[in-house]
Amino acid sequence: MANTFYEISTVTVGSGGASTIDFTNIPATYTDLLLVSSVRTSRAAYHESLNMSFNGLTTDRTNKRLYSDGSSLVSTSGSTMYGGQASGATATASAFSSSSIYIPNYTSSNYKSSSEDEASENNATSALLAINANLWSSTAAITQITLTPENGGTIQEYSTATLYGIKNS
Amino acid sequence: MAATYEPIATYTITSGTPLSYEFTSIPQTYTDLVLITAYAGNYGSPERSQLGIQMGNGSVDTNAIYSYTVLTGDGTTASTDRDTALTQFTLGTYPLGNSATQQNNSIVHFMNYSNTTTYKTLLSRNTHMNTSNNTSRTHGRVLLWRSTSAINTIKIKDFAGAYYFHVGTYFTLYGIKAA
Repeated sequence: MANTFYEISTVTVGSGGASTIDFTNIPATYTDLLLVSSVRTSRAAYHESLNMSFNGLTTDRTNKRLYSDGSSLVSTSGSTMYGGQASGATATASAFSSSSIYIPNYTSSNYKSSSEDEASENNATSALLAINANLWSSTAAITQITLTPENGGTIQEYSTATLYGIKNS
Repeated sequence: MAATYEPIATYTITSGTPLSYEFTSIPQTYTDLVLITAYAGNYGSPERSQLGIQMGNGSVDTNAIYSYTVLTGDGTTASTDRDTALTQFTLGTYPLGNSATQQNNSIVHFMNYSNTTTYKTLLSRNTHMNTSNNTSRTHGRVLLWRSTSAINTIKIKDFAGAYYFHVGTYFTLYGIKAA
């Protein structure tokens, strides 16, 4: 049986950093998408959220998030979608976050729900572990995914993100 | 490179009003299984229904040997709950008012599913989103099937058996090989 887990594209941030991580011209030939990332940003904090948009649009987005920083468990909601977590500039040196976002049925004319888990571990008093549900209330097929640090700043060198396409047959 | 992530079977609803679907004769040749669901259900009341799952070997096990612990975030409150001695798992809820075009998803990992020595522990994530956002939530869950039988049957259903799945819903079972 054929393997059906394909690498569409990998972004590796180079020297000087980047303001976003962007996947464009995503083929419509798969069933689902999986985005896996390892990211650090310039934000002066232990961690930073990565906002996610589809097709260059920041409308019709909602989320429900559940996270813990090691001392409390919190749920939040908002009018964005989360595309992972990043370690911040004050996190342990060389520590990069880990995140994965699963996006089923990305070419359909249904609204798009996606499921995400993320972790930003840190050898200090605060870290972050979260799961998140996103909804993009659009019937358009997803052709572009953009990750942007929530509070601005720069995505640091050596950050990586890989987009996989998954076929169900 | 050898294929290590393979679709075993997929079921897409193209017509009708099915209440459930069974994966049967699941090969025992993988290390782990992953179930991907993208679904919308026909429910009007109560506020939400639940996606149920059962498993077995040769047939669906309906004995009261399922248990779970869940973390839930509804945007305001983080909560946890658990239940034992169930005759099925719930993977998560899905909200009232969703149309066929508003699918949610559950991702379930079955580790070491073919062994005949240990009980089977599953991990799942579930989205429960709708446009009104009032009942939306996210779930993370661990589930235990207290059976040493290898899993070769998985049934997905509305928890109450009362609501059907909309056209466009799909369930796909993948196998993962360690080598």
